[in-house]
Amino acid sequence: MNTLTETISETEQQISFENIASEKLTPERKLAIDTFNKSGFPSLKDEEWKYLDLSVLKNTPFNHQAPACTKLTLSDIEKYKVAGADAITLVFINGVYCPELSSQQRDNTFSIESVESELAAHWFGKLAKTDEPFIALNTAFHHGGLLIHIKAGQEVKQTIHLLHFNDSRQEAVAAHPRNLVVAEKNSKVQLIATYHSLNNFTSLTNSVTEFFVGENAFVEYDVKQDENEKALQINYVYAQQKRDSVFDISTVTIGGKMVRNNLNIALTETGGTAHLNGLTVGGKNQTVDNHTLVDHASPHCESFQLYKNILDDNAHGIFNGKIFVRQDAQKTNAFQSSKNVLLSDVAVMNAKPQLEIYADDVKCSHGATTGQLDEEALFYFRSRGIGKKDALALLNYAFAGDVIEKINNDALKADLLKLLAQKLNTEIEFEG
Amino acid sequence: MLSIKNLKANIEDKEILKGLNLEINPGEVHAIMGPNGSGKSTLASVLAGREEYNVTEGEVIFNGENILEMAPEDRARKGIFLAFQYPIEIPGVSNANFMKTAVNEVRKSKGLAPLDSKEFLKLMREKMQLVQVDKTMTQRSVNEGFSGGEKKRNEIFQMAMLEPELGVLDETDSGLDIDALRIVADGVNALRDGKRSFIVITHYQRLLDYIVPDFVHVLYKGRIVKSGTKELALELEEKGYDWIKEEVEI
Ligand SMILES: Nc1ncnc2c1ncn2[C@@H]1O[C@H](COP(=O)(O)OP(=O)(O)OP(=O)(O)O)[C@@H](O)[C@H]1O
Ligand SMILES: [Mg+2]
Repeated sequence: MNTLTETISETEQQISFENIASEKLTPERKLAIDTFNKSGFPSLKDEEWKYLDLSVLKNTPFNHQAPACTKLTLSDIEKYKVAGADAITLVFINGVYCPELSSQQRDNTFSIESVESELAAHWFGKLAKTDEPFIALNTAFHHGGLLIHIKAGQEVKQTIHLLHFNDSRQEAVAAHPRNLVVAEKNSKVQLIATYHSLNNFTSLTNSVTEFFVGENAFVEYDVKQDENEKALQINYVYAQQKRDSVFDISTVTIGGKMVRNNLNIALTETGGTAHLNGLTVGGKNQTVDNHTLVDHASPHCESFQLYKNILDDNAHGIFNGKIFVRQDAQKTNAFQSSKNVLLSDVAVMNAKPQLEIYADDVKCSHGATTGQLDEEALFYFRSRGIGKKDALALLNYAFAGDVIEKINNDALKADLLKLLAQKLNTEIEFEG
Repeated sequence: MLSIKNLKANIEDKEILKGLNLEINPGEVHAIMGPNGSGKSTLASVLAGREEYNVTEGEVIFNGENILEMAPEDRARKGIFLAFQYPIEIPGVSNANFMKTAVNEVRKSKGLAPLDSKEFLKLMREKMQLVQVDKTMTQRSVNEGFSGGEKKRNEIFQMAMLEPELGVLDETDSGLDIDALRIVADGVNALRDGKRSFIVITHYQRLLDYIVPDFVHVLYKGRIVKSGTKELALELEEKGYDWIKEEVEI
C-alpha cells in the first residue's frame, strides 16, 4: 500500500508530496510533480482548454493517494459488468488493479503485469508526455495500473473489460488510472473500459491509457463513461499505429459532471486505419469535452471520426477535432463529422474542426452541424399515437444510433442501448 | 362521429380557416377539393393537432369529445389518423420499430396488452399485403429514400396498422401513377367497413372513381362553399373552380 500523502495550496494550486516512502518517489515521479507545479492546471486562456471550466476540479482538495481495493465485494461489482458479454473483467478501484475482484481465468494469448514493471518501461510514457499538466499529475501519482500485452499472431477471443471505479464515499479522491496496451504484430483484441463512481464527495478520475498497435494488428477499444453528477473525469488515450494496423475507439459519455476526453492517434506507418466515434448524451449541468488529434504521419492511412452530442438542460458540449496531415502522408483519407442536437434553449455546443494539411494528394473533409429538435418529425410520431416523451426518445435514439452501431460488441451495444433508453427517460426498447 | 362547427384557425396571425362546418357520420367518405392554398391541409393539420396552428373559434367534436384541447398523440389514440401530404423522412428509425411502438401505444391507451414480436409480425404481414408493402420497406428507416409512391403507400400501411376510426388522407393520390393509385385506393377500400369514416383531400377526380365518396365538398378561402355528391367532382374536373369562385364572390 502506498503511504504518500499530498497537500494542495489553494492559492497557487501547488501539489507536493509529503511523508513519502523514499522508494516510492522515483525520479520520474518527482520530475512529473515538478513539471506539473511549473505549469499548474490549464486555464481558459489555454487554446486547448478554452471552453472548459475547471474551477470545481481546481478548487476541490483531492486525496491523490487514496487507498485502493476498498471494501467492494464481487457482488457489489456484478451489476457493472456488461450483461451477456463473454468478458475477462479487470477491476480497478481508484486506478488500482484489484485481482481478487477480477476474472481469474486467462488464456495464453495475452499477459498482464504491472505498468511499473521493467517490461512496461519499454513503452510507458512514450506517447503520454508530461508537458500535459494532467498527464504530469497522472505520472506522479498513478499506482497499480496494468500492462496488457497481446502476443504476436494471437487473437484474444474474449473481450477484456477494464472496469473502473472511483470510490469517493469517504473523501474526495483523485484516481489516476494508468494502463498500457501493447498489441503485437498480427494480434487482435477487443477492450472495453467502463467508468463508474461511488461518491459522497466530488471525485476526479484522471485516466491515461497508451496503446501500441503493432503491424497488422487490430484493436477495438470502447469506452463507456457512466459516472455520476459529482464525478469529474479527464481521460487521455494515446494510440501509436504501425503498418496496416487498425485502431477503433468509440467513446460513449452518458454520466459525469464534467468529462474531458483527449484522443491522440498517430498513424506512424503506411496503411493504418483509425475510427474514432463519440456519443454524448448530456443534461442538467453536464459538460463533456471531446478533443481529438489524428496525426497522419505516413501515406495511405485512413481516419474516420464521427462525434455526436445530444444536449439538454444546461449541458455544454465541446468538440475539437484536429487532423494533421504531414508532408509525407500522401494518399491520406481523413474524414470528420460532428453532429449535434440541442434539446433546450440554454444548452451550448462548441464544435471546432481543425485541419492542417501539408501533403497535396489527400482526401480530407470535415463538417460540423448543430441543430434544434426536428419538430416536424416529432409531430409525425405524435400523430401516430406515440407520446411526446417517447417520440423524443426515439428521435434521439435514431440520431445517436449510428454511433452505437459502430461498436462491434453486441453485448456492449445492447448495454448501451439500455443505458441510452434510461438516460432518454423512455421505456421503449430500442432495437440493436 | 365528427362534427366541425364554425372552425377558425390562424397560422402566424394569418387566418386560414374562416368558419368551417362539416358533419361526418360513421362509415361515410367525404371528399374535399379546392384550389391551392384554400386551407385543405390546414384543416387536416388542425384535426391532427399540429401545434403551429392556432384555433381562434369554433369546435371539433369527435365521438362526443371536443378534441381541440387534446395533444396530437391523444387524438391518434382515440382514432384520428392523418395520412400526410408530404410524409417526412426519419433516418435511423425503422418502419417496423416505429409501427410497433405506435401500435402498442394505441393499444395501451385502450387498456390492451402490448403485442409481442410474434403477434406484431403477424399483424404487420397481414397489413403489408393490403398495400403491397414489402419486407425491405418495413426494415428501412421511415420513409428514408422512399419514392413518392412508396411514401404514400407507407402512409396507408400505417393507417391499416393503426385501424383508426377516422382517416384523413391529404392528397394521398398526388404524384401516383395509375397502378400505384389503384393500390392505394384498394388499401383504403379494404378498410371501409361501414363504421370507419374518411376525409379524402384531393385535386383529382380520378381518385374518386376508386374511392367512391358519399359527399364532395369544395373548400375555398377557408370555408366549405359547396357540397354535393360525387357528380360534383366530375363537374369540377370539367369546369375548374372559376364558376365556384364567381358564385362565392357574388
Ligand atoms: N407555416 C405557414 N406559414 C404561413 N403560411 C402558411 C403556412 N402553412 C400554410 N400557410 C398558408 O396557408 C394557406 C393554406 O395552406 P394549405 O396548405 O392549407 O392549403 P391547401 O389547400 O392544402 O393547398 P394545396 O392544394 O396546395 O395543398 C396558404 O396560403 C399557405 O401559404
Ligand atoms: Mg395541401
